[in-house]
Amino acid sequence: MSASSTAVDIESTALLSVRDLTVEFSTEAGVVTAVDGVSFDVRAGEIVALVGESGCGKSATALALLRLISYPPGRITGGEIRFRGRDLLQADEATIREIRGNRIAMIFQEPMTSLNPVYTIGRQLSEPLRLHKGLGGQTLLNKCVELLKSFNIADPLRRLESYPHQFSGGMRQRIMIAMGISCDPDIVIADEPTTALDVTIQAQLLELLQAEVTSRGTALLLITHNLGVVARYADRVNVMYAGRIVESASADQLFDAPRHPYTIGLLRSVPRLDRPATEKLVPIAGQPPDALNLPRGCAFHPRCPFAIERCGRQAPVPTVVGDNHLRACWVDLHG
Amino acid sequence: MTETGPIGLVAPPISRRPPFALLRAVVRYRLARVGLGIIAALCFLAIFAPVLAPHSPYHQDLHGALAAPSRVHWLGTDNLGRDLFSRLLYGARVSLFVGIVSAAVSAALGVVTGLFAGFKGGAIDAIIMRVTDAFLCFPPLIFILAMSAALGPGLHNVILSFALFGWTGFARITRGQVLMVRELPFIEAARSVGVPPRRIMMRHILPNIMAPVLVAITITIGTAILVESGVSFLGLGAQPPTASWGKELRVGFAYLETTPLFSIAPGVMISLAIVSFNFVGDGLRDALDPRLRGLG
Repeated sequence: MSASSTAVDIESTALLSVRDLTVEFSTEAGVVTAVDGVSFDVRAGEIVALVGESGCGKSATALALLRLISYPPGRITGGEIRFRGRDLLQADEATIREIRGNRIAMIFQEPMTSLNPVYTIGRQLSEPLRLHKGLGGQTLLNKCVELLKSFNIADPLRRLESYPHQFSGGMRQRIMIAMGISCDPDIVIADEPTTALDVTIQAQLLELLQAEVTSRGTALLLITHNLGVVARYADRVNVMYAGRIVESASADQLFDAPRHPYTIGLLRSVPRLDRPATEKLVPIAGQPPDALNLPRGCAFHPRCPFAIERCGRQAPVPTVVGDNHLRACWVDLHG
Repeated sequence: MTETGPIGLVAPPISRRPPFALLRAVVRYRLARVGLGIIAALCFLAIFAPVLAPHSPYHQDLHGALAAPSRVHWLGTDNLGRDLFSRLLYGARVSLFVGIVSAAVSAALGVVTGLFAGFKGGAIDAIIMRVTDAFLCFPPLIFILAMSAALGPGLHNVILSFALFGWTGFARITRGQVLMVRELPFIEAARSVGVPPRRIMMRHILPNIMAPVLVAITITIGTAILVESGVSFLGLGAQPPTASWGKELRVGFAYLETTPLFSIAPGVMISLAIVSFNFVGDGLRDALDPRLRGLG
């Protein structure tokens, strides 16, 4: 990726540009702001990661991009999602449906339950193609066979007739990915695509996903909690904490010179091959905050070793700290 | 995440297996086998009643009224000298027809409203469910009797009255299932590829909720047969000279001491039919329950 571009530049060239996205969920105990003013960009062909721990709002962000937050209890309460210059939050339902699966595709976390158990793989794999490309008959069949073949499913013609329960988890997720890219979308959103699978299959799948999006020039928004995955595949990384993006940088910058205490904490808490084996792993103190009752000021300050008085008073705003590097923190840290 | 995750909560879809596989699964249960056999026999008798009946069910012979069983009249005759066996065969037509049609109409109405309520949620859901709650306040038989009385005697009105009450149960079952299924990831996945809501409802949710509905239909057929008999017993259902088990039972009841078979035989038929449908319903439920699979 070109490191010379500035923040202004990104805005004009971005394929998908999210600004101040806010998503709220009403619960019995009160309103939870799961996504709180999130902004980021995805440029054509780029692999962007959204990283954070469970409950930080990554998945809600992903669902909101396609307006899949179901109301009630969830609701997108503010912001802008510009896709090719058009604000998806203002678009009507028909336009959104036309974009879903066609221009922006989504791959879900659970391959075991993301396929409808009553239909054959063939019927489900062909659904986006039928809906968006109007394919049918032999053309559709050929396309499906070709898709399964490119995802290393043996005997594709026969397997199209099989039901989801006749496949392993890895195979199902390959089918989900095949379904995701079938209409040649501009962006694929992968929400923890490998979390439910075992480690060797995870690596295989991610390689396959990366190869597919790279060869097609498709952008990928990779949502994960796994920093190893981020380091290996992402061009750009957005770190989320308690519904906000706390740091955003290119993958190289983020791993070499993290500038937010949360990112630093995350990196210290996982083993790395490029550090001495004797280095201790340091967990982040405390617990993730209660979403119903976020700390005043910076949500991370109660757990932050660098916190100053101001952190408890005022929420930090994202500021540029380097080339294409943003972070939201009052303390000036250098890795 | 293993196979027994959220999917395990949902009864396995019936359309996954071809109909014969389902039948085979049901037949593994002994009582269901018995029930199926009796239902098949009753259907056979009902369909071929004109061929099988030794006498016309309407031919009166007042001199031979209330006769005991003989070679000519296998179960004897009724108070007007009509052949009881022939009348019971024709009565099977009425009972099965009313039972099956009532259950089918109830299921059709209930599944559609339940699907709608569960899928749309909000005010529509609240209104539909409060209406079903209101129906639950009435004892079913009293309600259906009152409806039949209001609509007037006749089998069609029995069916109508039954369906007016029966849809509520199906609506509740369907709604509950929809609430569960619509949150499953594959529904979200279908939405994420741009499948329109109506198609999600009919193609993705409906087939996944049919198992419990099928069980309920079977049991409801039995209930409807009982209700028809009850209503006819009270004089509101089948009208003379139509033969109906419930009506035979009522007329025969008056002669219980002299000609016991006159009321016992239709009673046995009613019980047989209801018990059979319940056996099959139980068998279906077990066959569709993944936890019981392989026990049999």
